[in-house]
Amino acid sequence: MSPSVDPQANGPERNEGPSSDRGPAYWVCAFFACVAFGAAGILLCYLIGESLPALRSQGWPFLFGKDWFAGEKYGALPMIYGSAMATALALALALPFALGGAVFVSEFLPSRARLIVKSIMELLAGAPGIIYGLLGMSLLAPWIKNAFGLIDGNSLFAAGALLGIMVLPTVMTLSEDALRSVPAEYRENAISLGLTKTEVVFSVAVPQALPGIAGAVFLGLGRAMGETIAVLLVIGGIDRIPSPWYDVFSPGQSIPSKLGREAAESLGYGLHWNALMGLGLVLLLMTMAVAFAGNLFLRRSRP
Amino acid sequence: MNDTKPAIEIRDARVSFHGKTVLEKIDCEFHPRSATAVIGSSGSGKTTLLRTIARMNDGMDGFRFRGKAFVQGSDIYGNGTDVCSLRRKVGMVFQKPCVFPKSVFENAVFGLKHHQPERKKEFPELAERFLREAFLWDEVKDRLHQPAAVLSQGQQQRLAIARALAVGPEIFLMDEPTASLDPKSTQAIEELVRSLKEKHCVVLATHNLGQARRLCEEVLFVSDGRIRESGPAGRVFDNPLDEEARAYLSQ
Repeated sequence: MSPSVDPQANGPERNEGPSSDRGPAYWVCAFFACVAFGAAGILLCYLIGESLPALRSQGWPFLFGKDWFAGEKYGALPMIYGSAMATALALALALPFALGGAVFVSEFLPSRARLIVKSIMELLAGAPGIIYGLLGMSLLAPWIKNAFGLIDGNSLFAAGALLGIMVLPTVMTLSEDALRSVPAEYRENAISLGLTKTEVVFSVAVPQALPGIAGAVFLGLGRAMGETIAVLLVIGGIDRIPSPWYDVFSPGQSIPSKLGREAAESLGYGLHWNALMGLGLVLLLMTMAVAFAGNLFLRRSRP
Repeated sequence: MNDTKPAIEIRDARVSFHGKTVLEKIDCEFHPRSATAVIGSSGSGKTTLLRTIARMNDGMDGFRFRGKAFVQGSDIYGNGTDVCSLRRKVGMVFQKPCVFPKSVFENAVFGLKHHQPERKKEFPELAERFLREAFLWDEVKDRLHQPAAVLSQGQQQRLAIARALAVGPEIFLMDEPTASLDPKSTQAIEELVRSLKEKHCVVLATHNLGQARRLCEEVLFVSDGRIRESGPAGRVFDNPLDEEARAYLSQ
């Protein structure tokens, strides 16, 4: 905020900082900011309040219990496991392509081609989850079923692969931005020392862009973790941890897909509803932690 | 003073970007163990000329070179030129000091780490040697492992020169290396150029005519992408033949 121009008011007594600028615009903006903060606060309090009965009645087994039978037991572990596993798979599958793609687009493509690829990636990053879900159902799940000889293609792996495809454009385009933001003079200086293009990329550009790339990965993770409809359509919808636990070709359940399936039928009251709200709280905390970490990295990447 | 065989030789060269000519009819040579000043107003083509010698324009959109350019007798725009080894022979110092966001030591050995990783054990000695050659050792010997960014602009520029020296160039292209420095740092760099030209061929693009006169044996006056005047510094400064050069030098 720039101080108002008042030739009479150059004395130190008028240098009161931002408080001296509290005109109507300040109060209008403050009101909207309070509404935004208030909405987030109310949401969190409501989630905690609504999930308390389930947390009280189930205790720790709510988080660590493996069985979820509506009306009897509410153990969230299979859903937490499903979310974590699908997200981890998404990351493992998307990361090499996203980072390789970002390096290629940023460092090796001519500028016109780069702009075309970037706009396509940004378009894909904004595509709704249901579109990916439909493609996953009709193309990906049957392909996984045939390729791996499964009875049903709908599995944790299908969910992870679909999420990987979904977050790939986000991670790629943000990582590419991070690479592009590395000052050109670093590259020029490294080139002038006789380094090859590849050496310049991996010893100057990538290390410099690393915090930004990590931020991009975390933001992609956040999206993957919260995705509901696409996952719901391909994950298989069974509330259990596969045996062995790493058998990702078994059907599973993630928190959002569980909520998507059961929220409507729980009718908004009772312990079942409270348990679903508890699941929502766990998911919110997980995505908040990931978003916080992502922002931390992104902030560090800016000079 | 000048060896008979030029370190750099450019014959009838033309440089264009997207068809727009930036340099044309460039005929010049630069000799080992001497310094040549490239002078001329902003936008005259000094930087492009220097970058052309190190093939630093290659990655730029629409760059095209016609003619011949030789570095130590090799046609640098000919087929089969190893651009990376050319750039190791031709060190470049830019106008704005640029150190990598690493320690002073890491900066000094940055090129060595890539070109001679097998000499890793010798890096501390080599770093000292090149920092000494760049007249920087005494100022940084106690903070070798501190970030290079904390050094002053003048020290950063000398660190950039030490980093370039470590790669073993025989030619130094310096693009207004003191343009963003204070008088004290400028003096330090000038001292360094004096010592560099004893072993290297130095090409110094500068707006500082006093500096050109103090440091260089030869002068090249560039205007509108053409060399208008060239010759021994004393003759060009005292008795320029070209009208435009005379006007520029009399400013």
